[in-house]
Amino acid sequence: MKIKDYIFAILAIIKKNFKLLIRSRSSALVVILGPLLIVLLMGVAFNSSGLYNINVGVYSKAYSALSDDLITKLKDDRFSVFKYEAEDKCVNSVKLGQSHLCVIFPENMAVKNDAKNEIIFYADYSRINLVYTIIDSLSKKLASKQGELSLQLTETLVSKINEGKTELSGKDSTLNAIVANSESISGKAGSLKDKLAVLDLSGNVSSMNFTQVDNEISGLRTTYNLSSNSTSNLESLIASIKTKTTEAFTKLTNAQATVSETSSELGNIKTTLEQDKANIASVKASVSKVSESFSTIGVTDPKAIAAPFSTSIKPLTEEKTHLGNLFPAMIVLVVMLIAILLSSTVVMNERKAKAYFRNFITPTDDYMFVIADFITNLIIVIGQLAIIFLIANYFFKNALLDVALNFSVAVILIASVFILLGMILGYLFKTQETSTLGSLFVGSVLLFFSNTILPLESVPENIKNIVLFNPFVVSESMLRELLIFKLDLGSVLNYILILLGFFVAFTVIVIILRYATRRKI
Amino acid sequence: MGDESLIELKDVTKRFNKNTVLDGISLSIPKGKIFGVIGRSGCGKTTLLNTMIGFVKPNKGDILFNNKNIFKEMKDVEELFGFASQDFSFYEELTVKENLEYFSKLYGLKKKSINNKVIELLKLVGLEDSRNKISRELSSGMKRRLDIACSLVHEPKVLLLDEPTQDLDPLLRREILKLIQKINKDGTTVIITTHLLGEIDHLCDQVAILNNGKVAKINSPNELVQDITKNKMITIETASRKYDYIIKRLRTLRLVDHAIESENRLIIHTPKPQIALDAVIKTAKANKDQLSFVQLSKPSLDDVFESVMMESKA
Repeated sequence: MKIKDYIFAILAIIKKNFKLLIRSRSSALVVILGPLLIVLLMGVAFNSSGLYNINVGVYSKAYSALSDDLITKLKDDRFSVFKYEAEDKCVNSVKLGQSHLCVIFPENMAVKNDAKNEIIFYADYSRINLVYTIIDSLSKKLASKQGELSLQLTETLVSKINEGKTELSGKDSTLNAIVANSESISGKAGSLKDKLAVLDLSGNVSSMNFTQVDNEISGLRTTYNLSSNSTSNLESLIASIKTKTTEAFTKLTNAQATVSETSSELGNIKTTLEQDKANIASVKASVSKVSESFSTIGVTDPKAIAAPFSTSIKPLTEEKTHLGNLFPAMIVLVVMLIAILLSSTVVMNERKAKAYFRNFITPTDDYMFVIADFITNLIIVIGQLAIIFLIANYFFKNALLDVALNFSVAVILIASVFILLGMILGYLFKTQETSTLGSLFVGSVLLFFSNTILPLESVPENIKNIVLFNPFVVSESMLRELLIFKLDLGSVLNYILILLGFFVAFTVIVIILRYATRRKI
Repeated sequence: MGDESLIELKDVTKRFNKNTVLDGISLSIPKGKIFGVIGRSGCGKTTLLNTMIGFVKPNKGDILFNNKNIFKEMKDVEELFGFASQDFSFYEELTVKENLEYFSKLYGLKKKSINNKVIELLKLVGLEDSRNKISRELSSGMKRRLDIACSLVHEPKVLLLDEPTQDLDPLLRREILKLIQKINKDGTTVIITTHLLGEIDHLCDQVAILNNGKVAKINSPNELVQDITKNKMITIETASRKYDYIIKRLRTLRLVDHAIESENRLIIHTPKPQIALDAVIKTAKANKDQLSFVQLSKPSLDDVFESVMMESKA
């Protein structure tokens, strides 16, 4: 056969495949129209954002102004809050599906030093795809009230600190004055003490030599032969002076003692003042330190202290609906389901057709049937994806047109891999029923071990390393980067190479299986 | 035989697991003839045909087509052999015409010639009026004819028909047999398998009887019958429906080649029918038994087959 004949034969097989699919009503309905319906429904259902009709059960032994305030915060057009009479009733409402979440507020909840204020959430974690979203949404609402309270408390704290700082800064000069006064008094006391120290009040009556005076008087009387009467007045005056001098010396002796005592006291006073000065200096240092510490508080705005930083999550895309984020996963899911189910059905229809045997005995090579079946499936999948693309483009307001080329290349590669996988299943199983079940099973496994249901980060590392090669994961990652982040094909080359690897491996397996089924006719 | 051999099987053995389906088969199929393979269900007829078209590879032995090993010349086999399997082998969701066009394309017929070929085949198998009918809606006879037509799109030199008259009523069966003769007249060698012997009695030029994976006898139907027509066949039924004493007596008198009990009757193959019949009557009388049915006849291919089966069993 020439190449022209090969093409002729392949086209004949493709034409035949289409006729068989169209004439089999169930195949046409399930395989061709089914996925389009799914996409339309998903588009309508998820072309929105946020959550709707979330019921929150609440309970507290004793509601307080704070807990009531929080409950008011929870209520809005999407959250309905129901108060329960008992904690177990609130918890049961979650178990029975009446509430999505039960929130237990502490008794007489208030902001106090000894208050524990623990708010307990009872959540149904079996609703794994919902619970985190609800808790996150509620936590945000409660966090806003928490922020308000925190701000109030911080404001009070900061104002008190500022008051203290002001008070302390005024006392610094006073302390300085005290220190100065102390220094002055201490100096004066020292000076006085010094002066007193040089004050000599010592003296003795005997040093006055009154005996010589008496002797001189006696000499004068002798010399001048004076009578005792003539000198008696003088002697009496001298005696009086002698007495007065003795008294003066006695007083001086007393004064000396007083000066000594005073000097000692002044020494003590000076010492005490020195100590006080040191103490005042220490107090001043402490006040300065405290004041300085207050000054080093760079952030004094209560808002900044209560919330030192704020988080702002900026989406990398401008999508405002779930559909936008879901779109890559949805496309891969639809491609996977259509491709696996369709191709396994086409192969199984072919195998179960009475003509299967005759195909084998014609001079047409087996791989031509594989190519023709592959092209048939690819045409159908591409056709469906074109419709999906048009619908999606309508929802995304023509945003997809920019990435149409990259999207087409990626989707053709993804579809090819899943078509070949479906063909493998078609050749592996013996009946249409088992093939369909097998296709659904494989599809479910691929879907389950992807980011769509659970984040891959939640699976153990070794399993994750395998799952990362899941064609669904690879395809979804590639489409996400192409559609959401609008990267070019070069940036997703690693994904393309992995899918090409799958393509080659699956092609080889399909051809081997095709040859193997010959033996089982 | 003297006819030019087209296909030759030499000691062909095929085993599926431990089950030997074909056990050292050697036969030669002449060119331009109708060759019949008869045998009980499950005796290996279909496997024999599948090995001839190279679909099943034998464990041992060679199959030659025009003195060339078919497994080395598979392209020739694919292009020169046509095969109509026991089950219909066409797409039931396609119309008659679409099936013929589809297989014509697979056989590499030129686009221009396909239309003429389809018209020719529809005429040959008498399905012109049903050309646009979905094949599923055809009657069994029409389906069989379509299947044969599908086998003829590439004008094969050899047409293999596996039980082509199975499940057909006598009228349809006759139609198919006529069609086979028509195809053969155009020069196509036909190999046909069946377990309905009566229908190929006058159709086949040569018949091979297959039993337990071996060729038990091979010859033209007439020669096969003649091998046994040196005997006549007496069928009797007695009141007691017990025949041991009669068989014993005939064997003592050496008047029986073999005797078979079938459906309460005794079938005796004997070279001396008159003497044997006298002996039967006398023996029955002596044993106070009565003959309720007596028939003297010449054996058919059915009888030959039955005889061969009995011989093998013995």
